[in-house]
Order: sequence, then structure tokens, then C-alpha cells
Amino acid sequence: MVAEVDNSQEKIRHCCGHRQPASNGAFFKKLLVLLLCLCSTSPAFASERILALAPHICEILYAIGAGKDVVGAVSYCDYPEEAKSLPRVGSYNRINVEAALALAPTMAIVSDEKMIGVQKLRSLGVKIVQSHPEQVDDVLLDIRHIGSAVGQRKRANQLADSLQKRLDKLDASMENLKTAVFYEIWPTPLLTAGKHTFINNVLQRIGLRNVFGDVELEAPRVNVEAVIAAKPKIIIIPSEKRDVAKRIRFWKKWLGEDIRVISVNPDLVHRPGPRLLDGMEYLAGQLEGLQIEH
Amino acid sequence: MIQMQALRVQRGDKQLITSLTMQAKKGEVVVVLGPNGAGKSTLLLALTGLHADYAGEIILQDKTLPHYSHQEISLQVAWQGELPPTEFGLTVQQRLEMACSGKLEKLAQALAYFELKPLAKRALGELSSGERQRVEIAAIMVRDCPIWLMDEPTAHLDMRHQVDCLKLMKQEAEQGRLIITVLHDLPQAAAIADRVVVLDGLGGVEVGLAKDMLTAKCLEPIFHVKLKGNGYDLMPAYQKEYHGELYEKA
Amino acid sequence: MNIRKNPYSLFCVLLLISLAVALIALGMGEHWINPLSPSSDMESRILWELRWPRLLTAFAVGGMLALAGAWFQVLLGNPLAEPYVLGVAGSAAVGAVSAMIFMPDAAWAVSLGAFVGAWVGITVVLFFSRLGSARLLLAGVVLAAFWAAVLMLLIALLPERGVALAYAWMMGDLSNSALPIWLLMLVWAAALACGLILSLSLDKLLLGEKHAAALGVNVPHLRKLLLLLASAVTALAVTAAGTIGFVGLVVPHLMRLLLGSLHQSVLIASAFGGGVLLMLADTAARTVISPAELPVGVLTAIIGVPVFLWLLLRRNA
Repeated sequence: MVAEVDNSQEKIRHCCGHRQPASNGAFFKKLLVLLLCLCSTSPAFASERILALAPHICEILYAIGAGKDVVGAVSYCDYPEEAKSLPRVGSYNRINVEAALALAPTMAIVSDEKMIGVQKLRSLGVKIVQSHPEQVDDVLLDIRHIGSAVGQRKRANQLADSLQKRLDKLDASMENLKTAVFYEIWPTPLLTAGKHTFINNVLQRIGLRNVFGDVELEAPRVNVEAVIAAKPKIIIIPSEKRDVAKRIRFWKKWLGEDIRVISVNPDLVHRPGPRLLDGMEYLAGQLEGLQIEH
Repeated sequence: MIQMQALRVQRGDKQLITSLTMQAKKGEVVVVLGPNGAGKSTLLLALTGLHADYAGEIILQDKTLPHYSHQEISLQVAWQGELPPTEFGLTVQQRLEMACSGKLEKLAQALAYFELKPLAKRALGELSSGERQRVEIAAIMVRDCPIWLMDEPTAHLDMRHQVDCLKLMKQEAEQGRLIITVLHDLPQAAAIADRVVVLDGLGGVEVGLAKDMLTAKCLEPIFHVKLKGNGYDLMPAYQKEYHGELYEKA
Repeated sequence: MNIRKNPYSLFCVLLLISLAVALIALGMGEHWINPLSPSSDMESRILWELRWPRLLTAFAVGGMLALAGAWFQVLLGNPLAEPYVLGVAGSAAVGAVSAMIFMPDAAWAVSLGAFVGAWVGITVVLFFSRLGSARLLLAGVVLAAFWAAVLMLLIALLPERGVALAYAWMMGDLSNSALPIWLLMLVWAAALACGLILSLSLDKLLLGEKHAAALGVNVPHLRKLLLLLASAVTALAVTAAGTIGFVGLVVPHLMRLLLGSLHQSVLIASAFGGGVLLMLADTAARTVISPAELPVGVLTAIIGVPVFLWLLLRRNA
């Protein structure tokens, strides 16, 4: 009996998703019965069905205990482990409205309202919440914001408070070193982070000075010569899609054996989510070693 | 000099010539006549080795065509046809130098014959069609091959240059060249032809001496045009008084 | 001596010009370094290990693209053809981006992908090579559109950060040639030599295929050879530097205007002219908004398009 109900519930959602006009009488009767069943059994009915349309949003939702309400995600929502099995409804710049509606969402949290398909969702009655942190502080604000939007205000505030504490500690422990750092987003062609980037802000918060932090571009192309001229003391390399050992040899060749090269999991520093402090603390930890050396 | 044996030429699915057997000797002018699309140009291309879709044999000197390389054919046979494209800005001089393979005295002679000297440095694209046609005739002159295949050599030319061109062809034949040419103008054909090949456009071919072939009786059924006169005077019977039609249907 | 007529003096003059440009370009960068007397060990390393290989890459790739462009123009009987016209750049980009998707952890895979992609594109084009020039060009345009569509499809599959990288590759980069410099220079020289050997036949091909054949050129042979040669050179250039537009279109065209249309001089001048142009463009790319760099492929297109349109108007006048 229960199994049957669940199954029918799926059907309703499916129909709602497609906004098919229910046209035959038999179907209506079925619907009525099912609605009665639903009212009597399901407390989950009150909570939202959420689409997490960016990797950092997905991480936040799981971290504040709203993971059970997430019904769909986009490509590269790969953390935590449970998120990997979520149905996918799009990628970073567009969503498939039909696939999204089939999941009967009541809310979509997006990183950019201009993402293709989002306005369509809104016009079909799905609540749209935006989260696009451009600075470290925004991450904490957005966690609180998302928490209140999905009815997990308490846990979201707890999380944000604890992250804030870690951030304060970090701020206090890092003297404003202004150590020059080069952040190697990509080796070929050599790309780095410019002025108005999240990464630039992350670097500032751990007391570093991004040597290309005044370039008014998002991901400027630079050349080795420009890096040499900028005299960084530290190179940070996201440990993705490259041979880190080879990059370390490369930079030592050009900047001398003293150059400190740190490799870091990019998801911890590029992604404005709850793991950001892990990444920042990791980098800060690596820097302490550096202070001893000097 | 060039021999065709049971030559059958087709283009795609269309049979242009079902069977042509003839022999052309040096010193002759052979004129090919026929309606549009009958395969006159294709016949010339086949003889140049540029149209491979044929059966039967084409024998050049003593060997069939497939036994020659492109290079060897080009020493025997010169071809004049469509005007070359002008996009790349070749000059008259450059175009002729490509044809003359180093024989510069020939080149000067040809330039003089067709009054092209003042145009020599100009790009082909800056010339009129008539001037470009003169360059093409000059180009075949400088080739100095024993066989000339000429596809409508008098097209685009003014009257004087038409006469010059026909004179040249006659002279060259007298000096021992074989000239096979496509013409549309019957008086021009009559002026130079020793022999005539007529294609009817349906696969049929007739070959004969000019004086036998250039007659109303022979050509009217091919062109569906009423002809009057004979030999040099053979021409369409223009009947102005005839209602609605310029030419009388044969 | 008239350098238009004498290939040896043309070669020598262009070689000197190229060396002079290279010397000046070598000095330019993050800051000026006198190439003849670098003041420190680091300066001389910057000169000879960073700037010089990059200049040579630019020279070789520029020359290769210009030669390939000249060949494609004759082959297709269209002076407005360029090396990427038959979709080789598109298929190379598809290969490169596929490598980014399917082998994301290996940087070398991108170059390999580009090379394989370029050859897949060439093989497809060769299949159509028996078509006449006009239809071959049409087939090429359609193929290029097809590869562009596949590329868009693949880019849609990339993560956000990956998209920036895909575009970075497509806009061309001379700083990290996957192919060794000596190989590029060798290809440049071999391509020029092949071009010169074929130059008389190429001239005849300017008259159209029938005239060329009547002048003793084995046209089907030459067409296949030319298609293979031009595509192979394009594939290597794309593998080394990504897609760099308009060098292959503008340079041969410009050289024809300056030196006439005979291939001996056009090919020599294109091989050097393309090289010099790309050295200059890349020097500009390195220095204009320093310390950031402009993508060189975009720069050549921005310079190339107005020049091209101007040529087009002039031809019409």
C-alpha cells in the first residue's frame, strides 16, 4: 500500500512538472485519493524541494542540513559524496527547464539569475534565490541567507558563526605580511587571477599580495618574464590538470631554489562554499613554515 | 598525325559521340561544327587528354593517348579554350611566359602579331574579353606545338582580329601544323576548313571535305535553321518579312 | 638589382629584414633588454630561453600559415581562401577540447588532441578532394561549420573554468609550443622548399585546371599533393600555437600585390612575411597591456580583418 502511494506521488510530481492539463475524470478521482493520502501521511510536504544550481550552493545546503531537500543539481556538484548521485538538470551556464520541472522543485538556488532557463523557472512559480559570493565575507552572508530561505536558519547561523570564528583567528594570526604571491590558475597559456576575483580576495585575507592583483581582468594571461619581473616569493598551484612536480621544477628554474611553491586543492579555494576555510587554513599553515625559513 | 578509332565520348550519362573514326594529318584545318552542347569542346578536351570519359582509341603520332604523360602530350598538342580566371592578377607577359617555355623570341613575335605589346605589363583582369582572347591566341602561338586545338578562337574578337586570327590559322596549317578548331560562324568555317566534322548533338557524327559538308542540305537538319547560298556564301536565310520568327525553321 | 625578379636577392633581403625585426622584438618585453649586451645572467636567460624560442615559434608558425594560405588559394582558385578554410582549425580545436574533457589531467594531451583532430579534419577533406575547387570550398565551409558546432557541444560539457581554458587555446598561444623549435623551423624550411619546387606548376594552376593540364601539369596529382602539404603544415602550425587567424589570408595576398603573382617570389615573400608579421603581432601581444598579455590570435584577426576589407575594396576599384 505504502509503495503504491509513493509511486503515485511520483506520478503527480511528474504531471505537475510538465504542466499537463489533467483532462480525464478517472485521473481526477485518482488524484483526489492521492491528495488525501498525502495530507494524512507526509510531514515532508511542508519543506522545500530545492535545485542546487552551482557546486558551492550544493555544498552549503548539505552543510546546513538541507541536503535531504535537494532534489537536483548541476554538473560538477561533486561534494559531499551524497551529492554525486543527485539528478543533473544543467551545467554552469544553462539548465534544462523540462528536466528541472520533472523534479517538481519549489525553489532553485542559483549563482546567476541570468543563467539560461532560470527566468523560465521563475515564471513557472519556482522561487529563485541567488548566491554569488564575490568575497570571502560574502560566503558567510550567503550561508545565512540560504539558511533562512530553506528553513534551516539555526544550523546555517551555527555554521556561519563557526566559520567566522575560524576566519577571525586566521585574520589575527596572519600579520599583514604582504608577501608577494603568484597564483597559477593555468600553466599553458599562463593564466592568473586579476583584481576583481574571489581568489584575489582569498589571498588578501591570508595576508598575501597577489602580484597581478591590480590587473583589471578576470583571468589575465601573463608570461614567465612578467612573473620574474614581479618577484613573487610564493607560487600557488591548484593541483588540477597538470604535473605539479614539473611545475615546481619549472618555477625553481626561473625564480631560484628559494621560491616556495604550494599546491592546493582548487575546490577548497575557488569554490565559495563551507570548505573555503579549510583551504585558507591549509594555505596559512603552509605559510607559517615559510616564516620560519626566513 | 592524330587518329580517332571508333571513338565514343560521353559526359556523365549523355552520349555525345557514338562512333567517330577519322584521321587528321599535318597541314590540315579541321573545323568541328554542331549545336550547343553537342560535345565539340569535349571532343577537343578528349584529344588533349583532359577528358578521360571515352571509349575507342585516340592515337597521337604512333601511340594511344594513355601511353603519354601529361608533359609529353603538352609538347605535341596545344589547347586554347575558355578565358583563364583573372583573380590572381597575372599580367599578359606572365601568362604568355608560362606558355612559351623560355622561347622569348616567339613571345615577342606573338605580342607583335596581336598588337599586345602596349598591354604586356597589364593584369589580365584589366583587359576586355576581346583583348584577353587575343592573349589566348597569342599563347597558343608561343606554344609552338605541331597540333593546335582551338575552341572558338574568334569568340569576343572584333572583325579585324577575327580576320587576323583566321589568317594565322591558315598560314600555320600551310606551314605544316594540324589545326582542329570549333567554330560557329559558317563563312569563317568555309574560309579555312579543309575538312569538317559535324556533331548532331544526339550522338551522330559526320566527317567530310569542307566543300561537301558546308552545304544547306547537310547542315539544315543539324541546326534546324534554313540556310541559303553555298560554300563561302552559306548563311542563315534571314527572313525579316516572316512573321514572328527571325529564322525560318528547316 | 630587381628583387622582384631575382629570388636569391629577394631571399637575402627578406632574411636580413627578418633578422632585424627579430633583434628589435627580442629586446622588447616586460622591460627593454639590449640583445647584444644583456646586463645580467637573468637578462640573458630571459632573452635566450624565453623570448628567443617564442620569437622563433612565431616566425615559423607565421611563415607556415602564410605558405599554407598561398597554397590553399591556388588550390581552390580563390585568392580569399585561408589555411582554416577547409575546417582544419575547427577539427583541431575539437581534438584539443576533447582532450581537455576526456584527459583533463594531462597537459600534453591537448596538443596531441589538436594534432589528431587536425588530421581527422584533413582525412575528411581529402575524401572530398576529387570535387572541383568550387565544390571543395563549399564542402570545406560546411565542414568548418560542422566542427564549430561539435566544438560548441564540447564546450557546453566543460566546467566553467574549463571554458576559459578552451577559449585561451583557441585564441592562440606562442609561449608554449608543444613541438620543438627545431622541428618547426625544419617544417618551415621544408615547406618553402616544396613550394619552390612546385612553383612553376602552381603558376600554371593560376590559369585554371584545364589550362594547367594543357601545359603539361598533372593536375589531379598536384591538387592532392597540395592539399596534403597545405593541410599538414596547417595541422603542425595549429598544434604548435592554437588557431591564429588571418596571417594565412592576408600575407600571401599582400605579397601578390607587392611582387606580382608568380609563386617563386610570392612563396619566398610569404614564408618570411608571415613570420615577420606574427613576430610583430606577438611582440605587441606581449607588451601592449603588460604585465598582462593579449591573445595573439585575436590580435592578428583584429589587424587582419580591416586590412583584408581594404584589399577587397581596392580590388573592386
